[in-house]
Amino acid sequence: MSDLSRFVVFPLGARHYAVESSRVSELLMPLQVFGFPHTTPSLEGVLVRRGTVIPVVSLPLAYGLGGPRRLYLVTCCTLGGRPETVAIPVSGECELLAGVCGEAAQPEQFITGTLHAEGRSFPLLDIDGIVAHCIQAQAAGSGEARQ
Amino acid sequence: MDQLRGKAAKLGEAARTKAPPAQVGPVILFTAGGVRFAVEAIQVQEIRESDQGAVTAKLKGTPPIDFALQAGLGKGILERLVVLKPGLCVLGVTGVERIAELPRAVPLPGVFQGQERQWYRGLLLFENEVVPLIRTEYWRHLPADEGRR
Repeated sequence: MSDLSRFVVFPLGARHYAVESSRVSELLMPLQVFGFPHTTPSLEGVLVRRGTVIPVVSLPLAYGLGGPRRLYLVTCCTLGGRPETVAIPVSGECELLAGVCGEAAQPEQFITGTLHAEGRSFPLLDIDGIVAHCIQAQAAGSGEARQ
Repeated sequence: MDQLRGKAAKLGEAARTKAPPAQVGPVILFTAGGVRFAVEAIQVQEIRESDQGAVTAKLKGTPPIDFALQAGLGKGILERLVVLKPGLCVLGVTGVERIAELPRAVPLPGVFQGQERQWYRGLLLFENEVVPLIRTEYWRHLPADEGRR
């Protein structure tokens, strides 16, 4: 089975989502997030992992989804044609599943299809799209600074 | 003023493609609004107490920039003045802590797309801390009526 047919399934708020496993470089236990003033929405700060700085993009905050923070899903996304590694806080345990992709059950923003695996179905999350959406609002403008 | 803003914006744009070196020279660590920042020591002309009359007279016409206010941290307590070379820009900060030698610097990750691209040259990695390294070119070109008092 090729890597493309493997997916990481993770909880975000009350729902579980799937992304291709090839997009996920690692899962991290909670680490210290270093904050500093900035104006980009949905960014909490950065993690430092083996001397590399990884920005933390909070999707739950952007969508009003709460829940305890259990892990950071480190994923590579493409923003403006450039690869960027980001960490996304997820609210529970993650699974690595093999399955097949189908059409999305219903049109939904940032959902590109449905993963069918082990008798279950999960929406496939468009990581590039949702991260770009989260950080673009007010970007480069005079938005309120946050830490 | 629009020209100055445009210049500052260009500096921010340049920052997207121009990464800082892995190491920078000695930096001065200072605090503003309860947050620690760094400025390259070579860019600093002098550091003064904010209430020294002689300094006030000398810097007359160059009101200090409230660094904390500009960085969105609220009105700052300006107890120290960091005078940037060549002396026409004064940053009002809360405290100046120490000089750090040869810290490791990394570029600001590309997902940071707001004003911070103009504010910072990169991030410094210390043992248990990440400290923004300020982009002195931006602060020097900050329009006179923004954040100065």
